[in-house]
Amino acid sequence: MSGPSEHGGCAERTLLPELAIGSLNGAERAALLAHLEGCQACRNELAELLAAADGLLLLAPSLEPPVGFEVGLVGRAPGRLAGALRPGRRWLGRVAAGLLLVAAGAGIGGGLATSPASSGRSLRTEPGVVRLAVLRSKGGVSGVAAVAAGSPSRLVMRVSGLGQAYWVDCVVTDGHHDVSLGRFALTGGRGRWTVRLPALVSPSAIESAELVGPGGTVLARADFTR
Amino acid sequence: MSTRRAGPDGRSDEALLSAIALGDKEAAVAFVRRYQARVYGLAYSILGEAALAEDIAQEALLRAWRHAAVYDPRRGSAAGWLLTITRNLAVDALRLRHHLSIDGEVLARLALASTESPETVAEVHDELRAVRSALALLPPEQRRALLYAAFYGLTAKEIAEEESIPLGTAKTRIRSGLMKLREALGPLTASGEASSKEAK
Repeated sequence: MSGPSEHGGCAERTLLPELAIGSLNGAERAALLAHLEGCQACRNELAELLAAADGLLLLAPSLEPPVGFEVGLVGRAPGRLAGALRPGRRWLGRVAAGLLLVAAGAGIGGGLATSPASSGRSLRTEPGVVRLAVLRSKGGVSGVAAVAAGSPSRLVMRVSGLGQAYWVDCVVTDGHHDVSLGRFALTGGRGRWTVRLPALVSPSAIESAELVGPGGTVLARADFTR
Repeated sequence: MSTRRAGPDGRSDEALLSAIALGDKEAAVAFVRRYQARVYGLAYSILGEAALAEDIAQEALLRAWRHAAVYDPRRGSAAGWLLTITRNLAVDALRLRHHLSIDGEVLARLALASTESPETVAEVHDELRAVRSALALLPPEQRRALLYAAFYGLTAKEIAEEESIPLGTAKTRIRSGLMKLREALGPLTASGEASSKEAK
């Protein structure tokens, strides 16, 4: 490696893209970092390349995490921040547990029917849940959807058997609006999530919830008007 | 990544991180809710496994909380910082499996500019659109090399093995691809002092 020099003459310059994107091996990386200590021009170029490399990470889709994500986060949070996410989220776990019971009763996703005997209430008796609908796809029943009224109101979705999709967009319709609630991951065609309903969507007015695949195809639909 | 976001409460990412460093719980909640879908989406794209992606996403957000005090906005955006933490954790988890499992379908979806989603149409900010456009201009082999490195943490040697090409060719693809990407992104890739990036 050369010492400090004019940028145009730095042999190390050709390695900057690999350093920026993280693909440089240990020995070359160490030598290049040592060079950077004394070369402002290379540092400036590296900063631009890092910004470009970081931009690639934006290509990953936004996916709503599974139910309980925030609760799990709280359990691992540093002491002074623990509890920050707790208020108002406990009921989600109860709704999800009830939904699993419904799913199990309908023969959907049996592997997840692990709810304890003490929580043997159906989803209909869970706080806030006002409407239920079976999620149907070409292959038949592919899950259940529930609307829970509250502040805020929520849509709870339990999906199985959509093996052709890696992720889906969830869209609800109330007769006036088609509202996308976000994009959600599926693993082996399965997924479950709870998502807030926007204020403009009334829980009692929702007519359907659809799962739309990456190509824009409606893969499954829950009809709340039946 | 030069995005400087401000949420509905008007606070920028940088302001939230400063507040988190002082123990502000509301700031922590706002930060998590602003970024949890993006962090989880990145982890899931790399790992392809919901439970592990959830674990990695939680850990990334916790690290952001813990290290909020040392975040330096002069070195890049908070989003870039957080996503880089996420990527590195996910790649570490992949490597713990002792073999890399690269999902070709995922790679293709990331690479194709034509997979614009409703999300990106509705709320895309200029930077994401610019990255997609710039990536689409690259030759496919350079695009793949960049995505292998950026998302799976592959070294040039590993990319050479994956693509069955000489090491020098893999290095050239990375170098040419990233330099073209930087040129295409132009002013969006705001420069700043960054002698090294610890997370890389």
